[in-house]
Amino acid sequence: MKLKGLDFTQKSKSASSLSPEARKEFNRELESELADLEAFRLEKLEVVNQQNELIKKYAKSAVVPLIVLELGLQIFSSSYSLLSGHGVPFFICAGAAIFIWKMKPYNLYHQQYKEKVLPILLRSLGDFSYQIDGSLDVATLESFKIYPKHQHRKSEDYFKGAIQDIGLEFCELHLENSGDKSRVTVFQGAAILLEMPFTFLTHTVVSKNKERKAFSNFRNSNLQTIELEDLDFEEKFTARTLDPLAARYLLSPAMMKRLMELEEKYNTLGFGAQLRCEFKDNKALFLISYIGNFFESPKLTVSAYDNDNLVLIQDQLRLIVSVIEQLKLDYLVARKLAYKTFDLTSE
Amino acid sequence: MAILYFWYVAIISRRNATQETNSGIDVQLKKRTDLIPNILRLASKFMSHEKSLLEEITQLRTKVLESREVTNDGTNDSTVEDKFSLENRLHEKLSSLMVSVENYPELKSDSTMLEAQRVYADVEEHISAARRNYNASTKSLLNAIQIFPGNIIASLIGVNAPPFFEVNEIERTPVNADDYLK
Repeated sequence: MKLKGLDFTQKSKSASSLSPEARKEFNRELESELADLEAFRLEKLEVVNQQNELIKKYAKSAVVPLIVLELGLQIFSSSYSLLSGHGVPFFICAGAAIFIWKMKPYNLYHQQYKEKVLPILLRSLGDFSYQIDGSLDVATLESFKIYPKHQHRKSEDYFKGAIQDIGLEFCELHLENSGDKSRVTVFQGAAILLEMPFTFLTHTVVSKNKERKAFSNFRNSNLQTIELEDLDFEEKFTARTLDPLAARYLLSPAMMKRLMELEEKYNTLGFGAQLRCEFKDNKALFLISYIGNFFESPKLTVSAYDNDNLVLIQDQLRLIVSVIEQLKLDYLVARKLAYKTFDLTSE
Repeated sequence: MAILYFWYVAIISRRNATQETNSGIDVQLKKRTDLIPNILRLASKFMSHEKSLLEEITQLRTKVLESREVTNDGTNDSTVEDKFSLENRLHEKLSSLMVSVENYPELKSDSTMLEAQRVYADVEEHISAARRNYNASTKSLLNAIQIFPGNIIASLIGVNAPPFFEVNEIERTPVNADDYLK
């Protein structure tokens, strides 16, 4: 089956370019993996069909005895009931067990799909390694002010690589706090960490206006709020820094527009994105919250060769990797590195 | 009385901050003038037809260095404006030089010239940031000395806000593409 829609030619400028032979190789490799995936999918689909048959077969035979038991309890002991506190834990446990058993084939297929497809699509964009359940280093994340306080953390889809001297790490994060009755999501979305070959002149934080308490880690810090000239930017974001002059160098009018465009690009994928970023030492952290999940596999009932899904995943990967190009951080690196070869003070 | 005192303190603090940001511009402008001899030396090897432009840049650089020797405490508006005017003219000529580099393929592809252009671009970004910082500081001072009772306090102690940095009229005029696409 031919892979249509996947485009290995329109890569970001900053990603390594693929020769026609490399593109053929990727197509061949991807087709081979998709063939294995398709066989795996059909196997899991068969399991789902068998599960459905079992449920149909035994549900009917389980309902009648339960009704008889409940009626018996009501007649002989009014204080006991399957629908009261005694029976509810049983039903919850039984329901959870059935749910886990039912979802297992879907989860296995979803995991297999990501582990097969993502590494290949990532390699077409650059030299990246992928771990399905990896995460950015927690200590590094916690050193940033925009990283919200939370009690529970889940991460997935971690990948790491470099583009033109800039290290890039990504993972999807789901951070939660314990609420009164259930967990409350503090942050769900993408975390992108860039490691630059130079040190930023100062510590600068760009957060949303009227930031929620979980993100307000600015008390007891020396960061001062600065007013910037772009009114659209000021409507959406608040910039804080240790050095207003150095922060204005980084947050030039062009950079402010690019940050807004970056947030908008995530919105065009239909995810309700909110961008926060922080520049400190030689690292830049971007937290982009959105509704939904990146890198979803197609449904179990849809062919593994589904081109729409592959193209969507490729677009999502390109969007993440293009953060460097989008913000023209490669230009910034080139300017910074030029000082090494061009001595300003020599006469 | 306490309010008046704190307002007075605010005006003095903001005036000093404005002077500091003005000096911040000078620091960045100095980097640019320090860069010029190196760029001119590279350019003169290849740009034999741009002798007048190179000489003009050299002369402007000298005038800029001389203007910095004039004492400027940030309250003398005409001195500050003269400085801005000279720096703007120097920036115009340097920009013309960078555009002219495109007409000399050998110079354009010279790696040292490429690095010099990148350093120049970075220095211009720093200058732009310093000017924006200065304008923000000036705005803050203006707010303090124009809003009552700051206007009274400022007139009593003789504090005036320096002018905002503004681009010159030539840079305001829209670019006519026909002039270039001939």
